[in-house]
Amino acid sequence: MLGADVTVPLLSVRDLTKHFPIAGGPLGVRTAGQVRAVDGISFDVASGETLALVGESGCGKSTTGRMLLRLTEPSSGQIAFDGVNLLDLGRAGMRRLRREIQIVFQDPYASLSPRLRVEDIVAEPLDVHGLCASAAARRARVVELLRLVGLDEVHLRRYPFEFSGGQRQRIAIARALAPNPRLIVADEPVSALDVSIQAQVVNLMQDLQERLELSYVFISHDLAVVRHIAHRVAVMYLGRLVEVADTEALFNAPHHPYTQALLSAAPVPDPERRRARIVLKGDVPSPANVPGGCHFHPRCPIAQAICRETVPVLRDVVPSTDSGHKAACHFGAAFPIPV
Amino acid sequence: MSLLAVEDLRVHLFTNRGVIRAVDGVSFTVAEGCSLGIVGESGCGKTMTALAMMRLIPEPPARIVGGHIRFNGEDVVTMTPERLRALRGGDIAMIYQDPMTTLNPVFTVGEQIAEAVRLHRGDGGTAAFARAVEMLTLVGIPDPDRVARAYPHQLSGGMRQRAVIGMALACDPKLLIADEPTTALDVTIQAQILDLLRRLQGELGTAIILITHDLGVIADLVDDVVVMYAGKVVERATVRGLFANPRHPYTRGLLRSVPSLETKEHRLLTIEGTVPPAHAMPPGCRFNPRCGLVRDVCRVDEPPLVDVGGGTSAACWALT
Repeated sequence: MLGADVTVPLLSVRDLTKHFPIAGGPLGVRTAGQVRAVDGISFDVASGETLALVGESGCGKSTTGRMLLRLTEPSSGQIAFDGVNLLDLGRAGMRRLRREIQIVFQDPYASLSPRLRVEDIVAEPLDVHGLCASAAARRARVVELLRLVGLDEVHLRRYPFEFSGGQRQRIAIARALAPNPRLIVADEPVSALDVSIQAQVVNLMQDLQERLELSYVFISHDLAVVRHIAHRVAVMYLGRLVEVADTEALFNAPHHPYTQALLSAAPVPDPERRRARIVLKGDVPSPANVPGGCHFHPRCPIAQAICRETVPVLRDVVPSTDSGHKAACHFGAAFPIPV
Repeated sequence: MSLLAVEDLRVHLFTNRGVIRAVDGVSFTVAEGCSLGIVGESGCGKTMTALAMMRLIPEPPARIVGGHIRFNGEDVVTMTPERLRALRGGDIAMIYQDPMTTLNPVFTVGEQIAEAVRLHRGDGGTAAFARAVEMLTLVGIPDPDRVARAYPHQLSGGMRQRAVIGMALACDPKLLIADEPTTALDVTIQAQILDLLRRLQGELGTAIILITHDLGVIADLVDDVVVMYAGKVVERATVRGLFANPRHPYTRGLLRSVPSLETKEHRLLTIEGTVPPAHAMPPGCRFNPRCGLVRDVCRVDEPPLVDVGGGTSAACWALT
């Protein structure tokens, strides 16, 4: 048997792109333009690793997450999972592969069918993939999964409305775990939860990762949660990656001006430190009408002429090192932002 | 004299499943030009408290069953409908979480602001519209003349919330109630809106009641804080006192469960369990099933909100 090659990541995404057509013309049948939701992004996720995708509304992070399961069909690019390019697979092949990649959505009020009992919700992936030989085995597996997420067999016969938001998210996680996946895409899994419950679910996800050697793609806009759960962070802005780094490196020494502004904008629960924030001017432009050059240049406090014309490539922050800290900026930390 | 004094306010919901004590004996004051934060998790009664201050609670099923809300000495609870109309949007203004549902989609932003000005200040159409443009300028909207003639859907989320703040402040209210004003916004836009609210409070001297679940936003903006849990005030303190030395076990748990941006803890601390259902509150202290310091008395008697020193009041038997 070949030993696990540590250099081959579990998931490898290259030049992934999603352009949605905008209907136009008198009958709405012509394509009037493109919404460039995801515009050529590349990243890897190692086995047992959590990669966080962070960014604001409309930056393409959820679209990216959905494309990893082909719930949204990419326009171009590659998604290699364990060496297999997902985009080469047919429907049956993709269906088999979804045993390995599961997803947890933001809103557990919408993601669980109100008409199914918890047992049937959690067992659905087992039924779809034909993973249980008998009703007894199915029941036993569901109970095992519920215990794994801190619920138990008294909950089997209940309906989603009988649970709080945090408990529902636990059910959604149990369902995702049912077919023994290796990768879970978690799209804002704690954003809809209260702070004290959010902490419980984050802890649960970390425990499960340790026990089951899961990899997570953790999509979030909450930087504090990301700092806590992620090993590496990828920051997105208007469909592109602007910075990728190990979590500690990103939070301690953010390079890209957008990352710096994002970190500085997050309110800190400490009144002694009402900080001088970097407050960005203006709004995020529409992805249907993205600016040329660096997408960030209209809001960037250090933009120069080159930023309006040339797209910056994602490159090593410290040239020719292997830190994995990359940023897409012509200048970055070389020009500290005046506060 | 304080601008607003809420005394022992009780709002109950009369439902098929029984009476829910949504707000159960809440008291606080806001002085002129000061800011108060009300913080708590879903269902703690913070929004119901805010709505009660303008008598906007949904009646039925809700009803104010006790207490007083004194605004400039006048009790809102017993106010006549005519007086209430003048109060709402005149002396007290409110902004909500979602600016898209606050604004009417079929009128321009300027018309909507001008409507409030006409009704409350009796200005003519032209003067009122000029006031609308002035307000849009004040809240930092670029090109206010154009935006005043734009419809809400033509603005971004951050611009809409600015317009809503401009509308709320158009009639020079003495008190602004902001219910989760930045929750629907992205973090870079949230920073803009928080800066705007702070600047306007300084310039106009408007008192603010800020309702939020976000302790970061509280720390950023207000002078005093009320922490609510299951319809009760569990702690009342200055913002510095609350964050430097939280006293109630719930407040402590809440602050501990917020992940920090500065450091990476190995494990987040949590508050065990969940908020009990509103129609089945435990006897005694409502926090007792989740509390690490629980004693026999906590399961029997409700703790009163008492001064625990340092300008902080807390409702906990372990502190008395």
